Amino acid sequence: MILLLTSLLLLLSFTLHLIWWRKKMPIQTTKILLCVFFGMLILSITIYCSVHTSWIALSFSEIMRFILLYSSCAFVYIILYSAIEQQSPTLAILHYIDSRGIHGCDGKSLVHYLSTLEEVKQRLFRMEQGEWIILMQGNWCLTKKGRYIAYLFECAAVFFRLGKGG
Amino acid sequence: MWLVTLSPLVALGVNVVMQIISVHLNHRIALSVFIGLFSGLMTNGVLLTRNFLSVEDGFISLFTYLALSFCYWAFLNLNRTSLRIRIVRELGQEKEKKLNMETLLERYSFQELINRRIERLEKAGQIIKREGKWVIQSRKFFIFLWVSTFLRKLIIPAN
Repeated sequence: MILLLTSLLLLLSFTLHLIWWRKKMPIQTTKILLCVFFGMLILSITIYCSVHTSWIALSFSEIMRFILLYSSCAFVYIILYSAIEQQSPTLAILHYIDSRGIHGCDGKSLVHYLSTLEEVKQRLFRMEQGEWIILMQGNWCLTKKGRYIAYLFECAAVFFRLGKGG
Repeated sequence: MWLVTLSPLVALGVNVVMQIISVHLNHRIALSVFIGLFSGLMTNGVLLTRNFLSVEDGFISLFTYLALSFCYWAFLNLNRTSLRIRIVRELGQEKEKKLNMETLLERYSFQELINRRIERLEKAGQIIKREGKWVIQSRKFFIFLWVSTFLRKLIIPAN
């Protein structure tokens, strides 16, 4: 029953997200995705608590299991969504090498191909839309939110012993 | 009953603690992620076998744990692979928290961006250099490429 209910609610949330995006794609996608998926969860629990039906009789611990399963699946989708919205440079590299067939490609043509994609500029644009950074007098500056994210990942890098990535 | 409900969270806690201990002991991130994931999986298994309810509950608990572990792994991976986090960290390390485009591209050049990805793909056995040219070695990542391309076409409007 929990599996069925979770699958149904995930499908419903995904359909709502699909309709919304096809109609008008929001600017702050992550925030809206969180609202869609967790709004649907809150709505479904509210409906369940107000309308008692005999064919869906769940105990409190079963409801908790349902919430945990649904939330974890929703988070996985929201994390993966950034790769759906914009192709990652890694996948772009793979796609390009594959398109060159068995002969492959040299480093030069790979650099040329990727330079046309303007990965850094696209990311900066997305970060500006997400209010992480702001352009002021020709300089990219961190917003309050951006500073918090930078601090969080800087601490995580020290704590988990992670080098500079990218 | 409640132990089964909370088992994915307990297992995730074990995963995180073991990963942190492991990374501080052996400094190898990939190995530490595996140790953490395996420890959590064992914890989840022990909790489930001692309080077995049904196959469905076992599956739900295991699936929830794996999904939560994926979220934790994605958080760790952001620091290693994300372009946005790298840019934010570069800006954050600046005294005045600002950089112009030229300096930003100097700090994280286009060449570095490609080299890092090529290195990761080569290490993962996805591509190989033959006679000076890069060719595909494994098609493991292509499933993700095809699925993400399909979903992009489905979700994102063309204009």
